[in-house]
Amino acid sequence: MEALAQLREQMPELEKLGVKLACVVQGDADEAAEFCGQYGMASQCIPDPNKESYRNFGLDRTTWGALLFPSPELKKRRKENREAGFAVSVKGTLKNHCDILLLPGAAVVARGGKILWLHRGKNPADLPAAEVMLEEVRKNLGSATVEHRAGEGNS
Amino acid sequence: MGSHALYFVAICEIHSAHKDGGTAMSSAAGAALAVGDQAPDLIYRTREGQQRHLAAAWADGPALVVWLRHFG
Repeated sequence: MEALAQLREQMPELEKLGVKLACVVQGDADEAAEFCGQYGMASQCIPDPNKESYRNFGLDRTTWGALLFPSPELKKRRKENREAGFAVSVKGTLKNHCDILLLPGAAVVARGGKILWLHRGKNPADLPAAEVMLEEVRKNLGSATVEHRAGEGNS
Repeated sequence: MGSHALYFVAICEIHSAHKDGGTAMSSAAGAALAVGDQAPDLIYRTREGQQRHLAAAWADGPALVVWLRHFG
């Protein structure tokens, strides 16, 4: 299923855990709001038309070969999206700010900015399912709390 | 048919490399970023033209940040 639709389903759980969700998209503010608004996620979307955040977190680009001759994993992801009623819009991918070769990624960041978990996509289909990301949130927030408490004990 | 497809892919790769300045997308600093490091901020503009910080997402509590591939 489209990542934003999956993440929307996890919003109540994220809110319960006190975790903010930030979805970075390639478009400018209007394009991001338009795209994310379709999923009721406009307020969670961060526009990054210059791909600055993608670069800063070390996300790479794939090749045209990988898109045009997709791996079994990418074929499977595309099929799942189609069956769920989501399809990549050619119009969307041809917009000025859209770099179709960009790879996805995800991170769990602790309060204050320390990176607790970082996933850089190795191929276009390599974005963990929302349930997996939520599991990483739970796992990493647990260890961050333990680390924080240990730090308090040392001071 | 097969050779035409390969030719098309080759042209696309060359165009893409040219568009990207022939360099990798990710910066050296970005590629070196690891768990435990400070997450880089991003200053962006809202539809109303107001300046905002990505770092606001983790200022008061933890955040899950997801970078999506495309928006169409």
